[in-house]
Amino acid sequence: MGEKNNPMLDEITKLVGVLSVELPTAAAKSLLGNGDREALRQTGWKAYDAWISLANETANGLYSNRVFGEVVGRSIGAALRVQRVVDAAASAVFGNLWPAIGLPTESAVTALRDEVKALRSEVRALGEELRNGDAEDELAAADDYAAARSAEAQNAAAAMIWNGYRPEQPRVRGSRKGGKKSVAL
Amino acid sequence: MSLFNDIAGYWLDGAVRTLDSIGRGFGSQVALDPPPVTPYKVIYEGGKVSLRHYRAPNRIHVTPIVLVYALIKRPFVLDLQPGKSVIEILLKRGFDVYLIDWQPPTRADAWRGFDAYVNQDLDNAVRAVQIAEDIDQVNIIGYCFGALLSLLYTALHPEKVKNLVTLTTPYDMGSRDLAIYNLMDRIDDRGFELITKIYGNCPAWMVNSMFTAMAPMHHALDKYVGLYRNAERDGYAEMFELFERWMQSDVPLAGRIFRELTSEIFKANKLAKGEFEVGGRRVDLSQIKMPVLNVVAEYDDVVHPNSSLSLLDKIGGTDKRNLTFPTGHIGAVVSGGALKKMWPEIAGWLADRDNPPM
Repeated sequence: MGEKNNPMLDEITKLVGVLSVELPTAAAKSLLGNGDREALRQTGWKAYDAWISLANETANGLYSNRVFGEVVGRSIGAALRVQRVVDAAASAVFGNLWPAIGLPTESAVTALRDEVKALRSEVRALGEELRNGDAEDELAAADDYAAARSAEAQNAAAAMIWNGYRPEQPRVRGSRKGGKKSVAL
Repeated sequence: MSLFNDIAGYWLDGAVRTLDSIGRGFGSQVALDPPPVTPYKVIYEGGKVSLRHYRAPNRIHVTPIVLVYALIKRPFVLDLQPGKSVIEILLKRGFDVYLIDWQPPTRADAWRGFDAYVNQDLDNAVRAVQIAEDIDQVNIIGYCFGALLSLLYTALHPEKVKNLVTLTTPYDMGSRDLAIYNLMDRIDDRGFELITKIYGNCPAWMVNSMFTAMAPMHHALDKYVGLYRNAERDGYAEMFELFERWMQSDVPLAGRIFRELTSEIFKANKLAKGEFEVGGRRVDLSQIKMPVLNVVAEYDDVVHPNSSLSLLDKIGGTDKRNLTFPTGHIGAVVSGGALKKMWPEIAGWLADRDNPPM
């Protein structure tokens, strides 16, 4: 009957051999000046390689172990079931309940931010227009208007996040000189 | 100390790459490929296929090669660096090459199973080559999962394939020669189903975790120590960087094909038993009567040699051969030895069967 190969035992024997015989011998030779540092270095790497091989063999042994496999298999199954429940709960809360209680979704807040940004650039363009026409008083008024609308919009965003407040649709301002109209919030 | 500092530095770089990959894996993003080494032209796009055409500078052979890559990583590993490129070798040997660049599935593609990939996408790609070249038959080379797809395709559409080369094919999954197979056995079918119920597809990070689990010490530490030890070797660091990029280029696996793969091919071993069906048709490997070269990597730690060696027993033709080469699974497409000896041998085998030559 042939002897059964045990890879784990082979790897342990290899590591023990390097650590207990080869490495101390190489270190001693190096200290006594009989061996070069390169030989010691190579023996060090040999020990490292033996350790890595043993670690790989241990992992393989673990994977092949029935109990370990059962534990991992069941843990993965359980984790997936938990995740499914969590996903379903999150979907229920954020997909339906969240908007139902009046809280804005991320997309609503993002849309609001974009609108504020558009409003700012419109006001900036308007300011430029006014400055070019030397209409100082109108410029000041436009700046005040921009600041007020911006603050209003920012407050609206905060209020939306806090309690679901939705700002009313603004009135479209009457056309100015160029007939330009404000963007709708 | 330089040793610890260097290895710690490499390890941190690797950890950042891994985290980045995991982050992408939770979404639907796929990392960008590095710039192509060999120029190509996309000649067809449809379904989940983008078909690349690499033109041989001095074409000798009439029948072009269709390279069928795996679904789970990006194909740039076949064209990694000048002088280290499978595509370059085939072009130099006078073959035009068409590479199937599988497009990553989105959640809406969760319905895609073997039927969609084999009978629709792969068949459309072969049809595109037939039209472009004005030919009836193509040579097919499939690698890993791509070899499995090629095998199924050839069995179901044998009239369109002139010669078939399968590389590291997961065919007979009956034996549990790799330790990781035992671990996967412990996850029941409901577990695999849950994955697709939660995510739609098998997410990229899960594919990555499976590969990492196959050699945990290597991925956690040894590859960085290897980089330190080989840093002086010419080109090693660049190759390491590219290879790592490929290792992190995982692509999700469409939900249905993931379930079919795990439950029918891996667990029930239906393909080797002759019971596997694609699109309602049983896959009968005896229909494969054209020449077949089955390449087996002797040290394969992803698809054990025993999972591919018995393939030829079921093939119908008489011109069939196993080519066993002393390399690993990835080494079959990137190692110097495989590129110098194995791939020229594959090209030579195909050239011998290119009848008539141009």
